[in-house]
Amino acid sequence: MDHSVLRVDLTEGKITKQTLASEIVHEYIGGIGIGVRIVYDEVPPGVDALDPENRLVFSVSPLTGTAVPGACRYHVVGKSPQTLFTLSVSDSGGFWGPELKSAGYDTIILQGAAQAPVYLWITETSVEIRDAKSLWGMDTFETEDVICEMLGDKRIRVAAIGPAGETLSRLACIENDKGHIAGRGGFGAVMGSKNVKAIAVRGKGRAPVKDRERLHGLVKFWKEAGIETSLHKWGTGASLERYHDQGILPVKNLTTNQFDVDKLTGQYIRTKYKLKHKPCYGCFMHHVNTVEVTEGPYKGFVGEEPEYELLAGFGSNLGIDDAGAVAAIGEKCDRLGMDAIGVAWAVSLAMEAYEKKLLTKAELDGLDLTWGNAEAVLSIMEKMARREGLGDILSEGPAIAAERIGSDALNYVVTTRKNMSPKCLDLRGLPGRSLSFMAASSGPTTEHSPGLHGGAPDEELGFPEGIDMRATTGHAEALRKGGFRKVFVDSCAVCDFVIPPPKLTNLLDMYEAVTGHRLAFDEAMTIGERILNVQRCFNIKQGLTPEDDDLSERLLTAPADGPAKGISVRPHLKGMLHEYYQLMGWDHKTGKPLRHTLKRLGLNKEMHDMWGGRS
Amino acid sequence: MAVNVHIHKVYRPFTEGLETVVVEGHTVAECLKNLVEKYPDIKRVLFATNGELLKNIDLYINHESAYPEELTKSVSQGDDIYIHLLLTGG
Repeated sequence: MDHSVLRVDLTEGKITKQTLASEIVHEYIGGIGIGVRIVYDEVPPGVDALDPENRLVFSVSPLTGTAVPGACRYHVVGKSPQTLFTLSVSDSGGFWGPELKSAGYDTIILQGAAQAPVYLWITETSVEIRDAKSLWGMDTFETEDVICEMLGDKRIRVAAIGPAGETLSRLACIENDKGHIAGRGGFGAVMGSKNVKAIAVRGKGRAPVKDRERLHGLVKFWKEAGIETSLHKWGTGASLERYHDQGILPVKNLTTNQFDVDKLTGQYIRTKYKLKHKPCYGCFMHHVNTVEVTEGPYKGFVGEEPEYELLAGFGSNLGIDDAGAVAAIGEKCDRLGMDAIGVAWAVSLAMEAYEKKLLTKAELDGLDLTWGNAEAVLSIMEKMARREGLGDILSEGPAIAAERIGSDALNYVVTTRKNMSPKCLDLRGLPGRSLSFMAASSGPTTEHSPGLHGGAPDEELGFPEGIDMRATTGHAEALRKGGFRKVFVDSCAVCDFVIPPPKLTNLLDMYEAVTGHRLAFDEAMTIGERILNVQRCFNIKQGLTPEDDDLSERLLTAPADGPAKGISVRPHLKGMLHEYYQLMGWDHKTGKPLRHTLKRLGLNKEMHDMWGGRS
Repeated sequence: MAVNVHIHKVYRPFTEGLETVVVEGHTVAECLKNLVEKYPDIKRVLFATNGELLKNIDLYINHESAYPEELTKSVSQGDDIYIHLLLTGG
């Protein structure tokens, strides 16, 4: 399989086309895998995330742009300005990834920094670095529209940063296709530090497929399986009410677990609002629509249907009970180019600090940042993106913001010790998810979301009875295996939502139909394990220690009410982490992958880097 | 009373490929118990070891969500119970 790489040296203004060695592709596939490999090889310790020598790698896979449902994602990998020192990974859907593939490229590497704002314009026949001074200052949606207009083609796909990326906010994201976000990791700031406003792509090529007839049959099965899901029927907001009833929905910065979610659920939105389908490339899932809000203070607003993370993060977590308000806040966040999850936790920190008088109205430039005040949230987000007033502090992310606010803020903040906040859940009732987020090599990004989904039986991972999500045992093995599988899925750059169980088995069938290459189950799991270990080694080289695999005080403190009242995961987490290290073949004292683990995975360079001696 | 249980596509291997199984019961619990009696292997993908419905299972009765009552919800002659998957995240 050829894997085509576009290397853009922004300092020199030089563009090089390369083909990756086939053994790299066999061992890392694409997506997160290729990104992690490149960043490990090219970003040495001591290089700051916003230094020109950081790399920003955009990568798709052999499945991208084919008829494989959900094969629309692209992964972004680099050293993260949000975590300050780890490698991080972010990914997004929409159409940009398949368009890149159609243009004939699988990976883009950004290195160096341009002298003035630029954008990249990539087609099958040319790659140009163009002047973007007129685009600087525009929000992400405007940037997409203006570039399409300038280049005279509405079908161009654009990945862009907004004002937050330009001001190097640690919460800055990369946005494409009017609301698809590579949110985690702060990579919008990395792009901003390189003076890259956008990457525009247009291609007409067709992704190669070995066995189209077989692929068609498999797609049919996936489609039929996917339609009978809550996701198809109600979107990701379907689970909101259940999460609230289970005590795992975040409410007001985890100060309580009681909230009226009636008007926030996916069921409510899809029943009350006007909907227009807005699929990603090749996807039948219907998990997102364009909505028109039909009631409340934001009646008439037209924008993207808010997903779970927004409904939880900007809804219950900020004391806002109106999905229309959440939709408006979500679009603003996307346009400004910020990570909704990070912003949600930063704002909820500020709201609690304001409630408890650690922050004054004067410090908030007159904003009454009380729970439920959606207009105040819109205003503070604008200040965050432009680094104005307290927005400058909040723009550093919740962890640093808590340090700078000082006093008890450090006890309020919801974050991992790697400075990245977790998904919008109240983890305190979920020991397995707590372990997942604290152990995640890159901060709690997607690669450590798994374990077993909701505790469901997972025969292919060896859990035929499932796992009790509230239990304090058994999660380390679920996380290990679930992590390997998830990372392999991400190396294929396929949306996790669309793959029916048994996930890996089904994905490998698709992989064979597209590439002609049959990967055994164990081979795929080893690829996932390899990628995870390269990530881990990168972080160790950059200074990670076991103390960084931890959570903030708020996440270790028992809930005050709700189904998990009085239950703290704190007594159990160190033991669970110890077990995870052991199963992963990592050293307890240093957190380093052990020599024999790295040797087994063929990671000789990493073995030398971790343990010295001859590779 | 006779109720139709519609099996999610990925679980049809447990019901010998059948999309619909006719069961007897007055509540969802009774209906699913009857389903398990007919096809015992399906039990582990529907129920946790403590007898609770697994959290990834999303039940509908005649296209209306059975949540929150779920297992205790009453059914009538000729009703349709749909077993869907609850997918979360995003």
